[in-house]
Amino acid sequence: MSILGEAVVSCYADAVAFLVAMLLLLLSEPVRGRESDSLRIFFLLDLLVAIESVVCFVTNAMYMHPAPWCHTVAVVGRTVWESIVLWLNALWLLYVYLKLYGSEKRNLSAFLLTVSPIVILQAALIVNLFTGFAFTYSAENRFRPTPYIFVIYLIEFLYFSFSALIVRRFDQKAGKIRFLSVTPMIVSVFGFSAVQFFLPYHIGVIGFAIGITLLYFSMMGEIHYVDAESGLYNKGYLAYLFDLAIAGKNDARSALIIEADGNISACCGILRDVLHRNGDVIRTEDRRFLMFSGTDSRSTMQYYSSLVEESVEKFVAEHPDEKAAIVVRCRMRAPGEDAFTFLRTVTDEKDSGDEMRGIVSMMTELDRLDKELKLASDIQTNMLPMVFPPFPERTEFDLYAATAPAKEVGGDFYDFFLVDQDYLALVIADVSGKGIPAALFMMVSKTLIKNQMMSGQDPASAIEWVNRQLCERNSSMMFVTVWLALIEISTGKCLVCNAGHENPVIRRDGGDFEVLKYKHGMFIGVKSEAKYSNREVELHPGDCVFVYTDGVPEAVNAENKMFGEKRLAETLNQDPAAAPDELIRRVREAVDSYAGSTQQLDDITMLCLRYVGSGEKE
Amino acid sequence: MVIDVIRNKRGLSRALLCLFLIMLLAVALPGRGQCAEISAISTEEITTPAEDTTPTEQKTLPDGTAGSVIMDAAALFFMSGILIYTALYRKRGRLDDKLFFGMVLTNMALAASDATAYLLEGRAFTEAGKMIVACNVVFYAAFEIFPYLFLLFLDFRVRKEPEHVRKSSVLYCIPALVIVVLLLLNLRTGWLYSVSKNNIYHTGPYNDVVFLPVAVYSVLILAKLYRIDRRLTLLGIILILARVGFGFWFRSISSTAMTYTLFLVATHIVVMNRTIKEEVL
Repeated sequence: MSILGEAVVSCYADAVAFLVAMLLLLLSEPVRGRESDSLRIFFLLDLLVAIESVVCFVTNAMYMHPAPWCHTVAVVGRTVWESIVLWLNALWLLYVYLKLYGSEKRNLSAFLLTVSPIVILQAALIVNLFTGFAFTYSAENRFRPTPYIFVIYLIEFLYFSFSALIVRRFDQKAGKIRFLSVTPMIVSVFGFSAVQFFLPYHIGVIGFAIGITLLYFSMMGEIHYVDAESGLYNKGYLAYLFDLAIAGKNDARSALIIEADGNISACCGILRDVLHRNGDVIRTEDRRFLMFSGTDSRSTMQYYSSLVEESVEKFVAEHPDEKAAIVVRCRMRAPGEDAFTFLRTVTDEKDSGDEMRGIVSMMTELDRLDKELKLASDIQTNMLPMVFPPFPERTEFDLYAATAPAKEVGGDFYDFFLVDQDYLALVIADVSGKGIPAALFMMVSKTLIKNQMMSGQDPASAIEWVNRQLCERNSSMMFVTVWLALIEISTGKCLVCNAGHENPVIRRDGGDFEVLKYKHGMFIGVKSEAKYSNREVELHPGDCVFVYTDGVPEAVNAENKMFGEKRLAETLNQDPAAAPDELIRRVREAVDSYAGSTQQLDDITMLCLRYVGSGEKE
Repeated sequence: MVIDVIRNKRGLSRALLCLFLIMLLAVALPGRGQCAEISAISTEEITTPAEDTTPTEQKTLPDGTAGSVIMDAAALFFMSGILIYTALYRKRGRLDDKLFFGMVLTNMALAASDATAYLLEGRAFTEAGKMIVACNVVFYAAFEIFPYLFLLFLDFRVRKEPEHVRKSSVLYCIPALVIVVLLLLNLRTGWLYSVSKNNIYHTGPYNDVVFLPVAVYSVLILAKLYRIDRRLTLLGIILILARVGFGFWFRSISSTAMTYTLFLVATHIVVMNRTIKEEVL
């Protein structure tokens, strides 16, 4: 074959490549305004192909021209040409990486990693201008490669292979959306570049021209059918499905109508990961999606729906600061209904609008309330005496108390204080209801009781007074059950008043714990004229009093059976001589073990006093 | 099987890669370039004056076989890409989708027959001559059918009425039909082209007639483009001039498949541009 023939074929390919590159530049006006790194790189690729085709044309045209300047043009032209191919490969790799995995964090490192080897090769090509170690040109201006040029070709090949692998991996990951299917691009660029190893034609540039054209086609497909933000299909795809239905080629038999709220990009991610492989998920509005499927099984569609719900729950659990909600409704195509009517019905169906939007606003409100309740719970806990032993210098008694809110702020409280050096007051109470109102009511009750007791009142009088105070402005009709005791430390005599509270459990004379049942007064806060009476109890050294709120006997297990006073006494009697803190720990463990994983609705509060008297503590 | 290959993207890519490698091998084997010398040696056996002069001209002409085959291969690659990226539209089955698909297939047939004819030229096996004739029939038919389909495509894009397109298709097909008839007649007369005994292709005395319907179609196409968008007329003129330019500067290399390919590439992009502007945004 003649050298001139080689030159003509190569020049022809270069001219065609230039025409293609210009054509793309001319016709890419609609996507030019869409700023993104990948688009900028695409235009740079296109421009480089155009420049390369011109350089290749000039270099190839120098064949068989013996003038010295032609030789110089050929050598310089070839250097520029090989440099452009290097940068094309690097940019192509960078393009696919940014397009598929690009993020602000990764962009700079990806750029440096891609460009660094190319900079070294570029330097080698410049050195070649003076040394000719990689390639030279003969007297007839014919290309004469040396083995070193193949190192450059090998690196170019590696770059290309990496980009191909990245896209193939993405293709597999993306599932249905395969607009970036790159097999033809790979074959064209690789195939046409490889021609020069077998035949004396340098037509690699046309391979690049075909590659970028196909790349452009894929971008157009994406712009047309893919929602840029979510990666799901867009309205254009819905129109396409309608076209298919008109042509009788749409086999949609069921649909999911999906509405999302909160973190919309997270919702889109869930829909993409969970649903998009199983059907066409189309984003029809900002927060509304449709999924069409060929299955006529309602259970399958409900399964998809449950998958979405699970994913949302998982997301919310993993990201407590984020809000996301997805409501999925299932529609089946009626027998005899044609695909077009089905599509139109599903598309036109009104969304639940306000209801949906209310979910996340409600979630936000609940979140705010959760935080406030947590704060209130902390304040409430801090109001209770938490330091044990509370009176280290007093050896006449041993005292311990504990409380565990069930879920939120509760109304249980305990208190103990020395009225004077010989009198100790013990209080345990339970306010009706939950939340902030109960907490406030508890605070007021606690303060009033303490104030009354500190003023020297006996328990019954104190409770009567507090009851009247509470009844005055109790429009919410909240009430408190109170067990209040005043113990004379020196003698062990105590006055006890029980306003509707749980029966205390008492251990006397080294025996077992027993539930002490006697007539209660009415709980306070409801009836202002209610009367209360004291009951005298005498404690001897070693006696122990255990009081608690209803959370202990009313703790339920999975079979909804209560823990009960009997089981409480049994637990205490396992080691009745144990210290108060040990007794409370055991009861707590017994209740937890009994309830298992069943969520308890009530707080658990316990107070235990062991009377030592004037003897030493054990 | 062909349809299966087209439907299966991977199969198509592999098939095209194989085709490309076969074409490379075929170009590397002794072909038309070397054949020029073989033909020169065997001129004593050739009786017709046309066959006497051709080998002498071949010696001075650049090698057209390799260039043409490479350009046809490039066109086939473009077509494969278009086939893959228009798969969704093809499924839609609208008349313009069908016409576009028809154009792609026609151009693939044109490129394949052109490349095959070039590769067979001068080969010394018995059926080579008949195969060259068959390839040229396909090539010339596709050469006429492509602008005809393109005209119908534009007609549909302007009027959006399948019935109107069906009616006008009868009128528009007359020039292409005339050439098809002439191609059949040519098998006996050699008016358009002939193949000598040593399997060399020669243009006939009325070969230029095949360009007349294409010229007519080109004028009609430009008129349609003008109705759609004036800028598109300019684009059409540029592409036609490019074809003329390539034909003038690279006379020995067949540019038809590549020119039609560029038309299809431009058409696909323009149609997509309009779809993006009108339907999505």
